[in-house]
Amino acid sequence: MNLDTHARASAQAIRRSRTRLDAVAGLDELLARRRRQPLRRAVVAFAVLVVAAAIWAGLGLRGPTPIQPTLGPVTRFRVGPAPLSVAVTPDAAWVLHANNGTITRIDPGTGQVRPSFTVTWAMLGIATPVDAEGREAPILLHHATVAEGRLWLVHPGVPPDERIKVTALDPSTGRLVTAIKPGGWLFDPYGKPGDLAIGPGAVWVALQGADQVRRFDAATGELVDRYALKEPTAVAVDGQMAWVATADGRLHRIDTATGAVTVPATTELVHRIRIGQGGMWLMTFDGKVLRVDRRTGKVVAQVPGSFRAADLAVGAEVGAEGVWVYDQHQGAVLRIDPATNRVARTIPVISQPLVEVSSRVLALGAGAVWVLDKGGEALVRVDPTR
Amino acid sequence: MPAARPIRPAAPPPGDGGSRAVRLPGPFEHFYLQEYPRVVDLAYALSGSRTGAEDIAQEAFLRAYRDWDRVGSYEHQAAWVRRVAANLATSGLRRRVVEARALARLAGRREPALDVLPASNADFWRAVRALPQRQAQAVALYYLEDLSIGQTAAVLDCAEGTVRGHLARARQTLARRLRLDAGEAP
Repeated sequence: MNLDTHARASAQAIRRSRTRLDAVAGLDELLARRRRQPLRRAVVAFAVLVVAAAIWAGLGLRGPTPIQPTLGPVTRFRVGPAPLSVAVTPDAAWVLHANNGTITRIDPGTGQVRPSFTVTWAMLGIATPVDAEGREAPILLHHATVAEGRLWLVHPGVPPDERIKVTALDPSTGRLVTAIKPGGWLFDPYGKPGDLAIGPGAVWVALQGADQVRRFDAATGELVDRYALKEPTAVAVDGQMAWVATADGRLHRIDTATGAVTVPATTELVHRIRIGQGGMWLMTFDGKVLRVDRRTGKVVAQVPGSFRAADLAVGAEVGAEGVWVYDQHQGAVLRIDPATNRVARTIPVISQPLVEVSSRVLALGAGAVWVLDKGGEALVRVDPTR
Repeated sequence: MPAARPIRPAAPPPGDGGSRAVRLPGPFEHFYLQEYPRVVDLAYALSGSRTGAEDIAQEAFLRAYRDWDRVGSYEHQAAWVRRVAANLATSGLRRRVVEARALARLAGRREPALDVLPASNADFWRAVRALPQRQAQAVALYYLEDLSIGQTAAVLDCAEGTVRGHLARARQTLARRLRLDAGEAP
């Protein structure tokens, strides 16, 4: 039998099996669950209060609370509602909150959490948009990253010309430093998501929907170069070169001095590219982590295991702290040993990870691995040495 | 699916008392009634459990409802809720949680279990569930939901070329495992 015929017959069997499914009864159930939620939350809140009170009482018996909190191998910091993405500078971890444009700052040495500043339309260099009733529109930030001492925010611009904007702020003052208009969607979860990479003096954007990779001057925000590449999915900066993966599975190398684009290798469908620890690391849409020789562009090793890169939230980061992968389905961070190309440690950090649609939740910096627990409204610090 | 039933009048708004119904916004109720059965089918195909599938679908719609101010403004609300359901259905831990909840809920029910699939069809979906997650999702959306390559790509949040790749690999694997003729790729 033909596979198509069998598949369609099996699909029909699924549809037939729902003959007794009652959507309205399902709606009743949904309403009931919605009603139970506040009660359940109240019970949980009460239980948390009781536990907190017990801990407080226990600590009181043991003596005064130390002035500086102790950072353990895995430490959680409550950061407030709707955390969206995390970025780290040498002196702070920054958590971006969805919908209200606030940023929380965590001191990596003491773990002290304090609100930093609220991003305003003026900070982003955009005239405040208002609705028909004159109310100010909320700022919906997509994600934040840190590079070259600046905090880079990806956020909507003013449609239809500026669908997305990338704005660099001075993290100590919140002052606007650079604004870039990529000219297309970067992280549209319903279209063709692209990528952003910031390297020495340049901002690279992969615009899958526009079939282009563009390079901007990081200081002035001006467009410097554009490269026609069909459906670019990921971009990374490697000194004077840039690597770009396209949806046909090819890996391209761009020489920024000459503008030459070469195709050294065909790999797989690549979701993210990271460079460091002596190699180039590819995260595929199938959840594989591949190590690539930067001279040849050829895959030299595949890290055993499947890391389920189901969406943009899952990713790998490479830095001085090592090669780390966040496995959303396990709620764990995994350290990959570059000497063996194998997972050397698995550290559970989140008990009930959310199934994510977008944004970035893993960052390295300030001597630690940082993971955002969006459901638990917390930032988790993992000490890579313990 | 039963014949069209009247939709209940709007219930009192939230905060009027825990024992009373919560008001659902009109567009959400319409969206729910229109999409719910098909999302249950999708969850069933990807999870293998009919009762669990209803819970997975409800979980997905509950998330949409909680965030309806944002989700309701999307052009592709149906794609959003399908992606959440597909991710829930293919996540082992999440699936076990919702299945356990569904079984606990059904423990006191007297209704008979829903129809089971014929053996050959059940084998097909079992083979689909054994595929890598993204391939399984692509197959379910393409064949069960009858979506185009472009629509499937929109739900999975990836390029059309990616979907073609997933489908091609899935078809090869399924044909080999089920000893079927792979035929031509879509």
